[in-house]
Amino acid sequence: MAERLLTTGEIARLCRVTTETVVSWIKSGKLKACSTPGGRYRVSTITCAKFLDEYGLPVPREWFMPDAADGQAAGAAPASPDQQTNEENIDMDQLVLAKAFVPNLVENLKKSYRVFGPVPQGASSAFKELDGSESMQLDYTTTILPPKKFVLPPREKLLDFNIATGESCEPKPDARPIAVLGIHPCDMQGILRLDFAFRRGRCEANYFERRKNMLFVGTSCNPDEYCFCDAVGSNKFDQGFDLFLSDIGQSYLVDVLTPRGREVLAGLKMQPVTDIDRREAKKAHDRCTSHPGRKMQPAVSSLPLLAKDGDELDLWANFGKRCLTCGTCNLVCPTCYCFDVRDNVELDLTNGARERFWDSCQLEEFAEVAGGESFRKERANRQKHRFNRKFRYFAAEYGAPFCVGCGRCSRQCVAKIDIVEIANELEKAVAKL
Amino acid sequence: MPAEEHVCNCLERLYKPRAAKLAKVEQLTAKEKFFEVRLDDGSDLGHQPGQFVEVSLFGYGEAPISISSSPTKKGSFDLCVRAAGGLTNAMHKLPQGASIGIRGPFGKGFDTEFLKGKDILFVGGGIGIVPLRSLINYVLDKRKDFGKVTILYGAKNPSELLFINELEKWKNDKTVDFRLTVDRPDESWKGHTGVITTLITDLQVDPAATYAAIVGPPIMYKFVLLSLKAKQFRDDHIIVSLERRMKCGVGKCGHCQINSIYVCQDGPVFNYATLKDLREAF
Repeated sequence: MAERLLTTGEIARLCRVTTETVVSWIKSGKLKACSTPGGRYRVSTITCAKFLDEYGLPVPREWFMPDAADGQAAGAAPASPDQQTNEENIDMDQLVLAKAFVPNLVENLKKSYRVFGPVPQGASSAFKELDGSESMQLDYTTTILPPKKFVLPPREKLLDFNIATGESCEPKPDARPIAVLGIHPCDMQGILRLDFAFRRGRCEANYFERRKNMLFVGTSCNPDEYCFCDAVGSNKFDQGFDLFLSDIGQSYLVDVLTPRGREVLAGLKMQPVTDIDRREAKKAHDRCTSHPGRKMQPAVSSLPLLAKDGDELDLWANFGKRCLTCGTCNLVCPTCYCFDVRDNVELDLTNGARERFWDSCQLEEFAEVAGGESFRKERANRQKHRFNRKFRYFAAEYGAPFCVGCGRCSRQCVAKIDIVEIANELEKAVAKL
Repeated sequence: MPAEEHVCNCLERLYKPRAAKLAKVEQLTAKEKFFEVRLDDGSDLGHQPGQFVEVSLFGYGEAPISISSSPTKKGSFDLCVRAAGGLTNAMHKLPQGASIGIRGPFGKGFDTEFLKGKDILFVGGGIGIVPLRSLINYVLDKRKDFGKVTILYGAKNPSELLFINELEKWKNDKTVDFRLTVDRPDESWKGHTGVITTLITDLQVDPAATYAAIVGPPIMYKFVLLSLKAKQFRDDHIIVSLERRMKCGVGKCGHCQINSIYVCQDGPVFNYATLKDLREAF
């Protein structure tokens, strides 16, 4: 076989580990790698085969096939005459796509997916199904609802039933392949957290049957004064996406992060990437920061302890007093996934469906039991619960906070309760204890 | 993480109930009914004492209900339900033979293996006797496996006492120290009067050898815990079962959360030592 260079992402998928793990193998010397001028690790297939063999991991058979089959079997884009990328030494994981060709990308996606993207709506944007790409605006600040609506629909049928016969069946979840364009890093981090929640303990089929047929194309974003993704470490451009488009002016620098992402680029006119493009992309990524006037003061790693120490502070009651318990913060949060379940009976009083709906821990009845006992009666306690759920409870198990810094809860709160303000006040108040 | 990593082979369909029938329905008190439930496929529920099921009535939804029988009872299992909400009121109207749906068993019950050889003090308040009965009957069915057994049961008034026939049996069982109390006696009441903690005061127990299993309304825990502390019980010798709104039963919907834990996954039965730092628990 001809020697070929593998990316850390490709090796990660082979070994079913994260890219970070592969990087740690390289750093610790277990896996020998070389580096591109742009500082990206590459490992030759020969080195990688030896490494896999050494640790008893299966070596892909196609690496030992005759050269002709090599490119295709390894998942490279099929060669086509109008592609300009089949020269040697071209980085197949980074290409440049002129903005004018985005409609062609959408057309490509439409061959296999229902395609959604950010479309202006009122003063904001919303992810909508694209009829033609002309209505899509990839250069946007935020959407009203995060893309969690794709992985966890606001309303989902769990069961069809017939009261007369007592029979029920689980409808197959709508798992038609969808592609969502224009996902910001914070929102992708939100989806990864939902993956964790629906995998944690028991792996929910409804969620993952839908999820596995989704393709996500990320874009760099235009933060406003509510964004704080950098403070919570969710400005990550290479996690969860199949493709990531960094805005470099007239074009996008496209990071190809999965074989599926590569497939949908087939036939598109793309340019090889230059160092100038990479520098521009870096600039676009660096824009993903908090507004200078609205910084989260405490380090996010200190929040679990601050929340614990500040459990009895008046601050919670103060925010509780302001809260109107509308539940908007939960609905617009990319990582809130709590739901309620209700039975809806049709007019024939025989057929019906059991459905789940997004729910909100800010509503008083959320923690109420049938006897009338309410376990989070005070608004202060419900505010505290939300804060703890974002920064403390699952943070240790997941390894990162359950707040992704998108700012939606604060941006859309009618009572102007701001989660960054809570964090800042908490730090000040705990310091005084 | 690429999407491929999330596609696993352990996908579970979590929300379809199993068909079951009410083999027996009996009015126990004004508010509580007893239901013996048989799964249509003839299988045993396969539960641990202290676990719960989601009872499903199409059109009404689901409600978490404690299993009241011991797993030593084969072929069917018992539920005892207070008419408190929409589903439970509807359930009370069902006749014998009616169909219901069952999901579960869910949660963590009492660790019967661990309790083997230990002395056990049962403290049941009001409807708390329902889940506790699953462990009491388990222990009585395997009496030789356990040490000294003490059962304390308290109700508001005599008309609210559940499982009256069984109480007689426990009273007459020479291997069991059974004590009963009511808060508000009526004219015919001849037994002990007072809240349940009044039964603990003059109890002779060895706190080092005994594990206390407590189930009751939220207010009861506060005072029973104090009484047990006064008897030198260590935190890890106290086992409680907590009521929460366990909507999905599978650790997803978030309703039953107490601080960082989901009651439907980590409970409803907890060792008190693990709950102490969870402010929302009591």
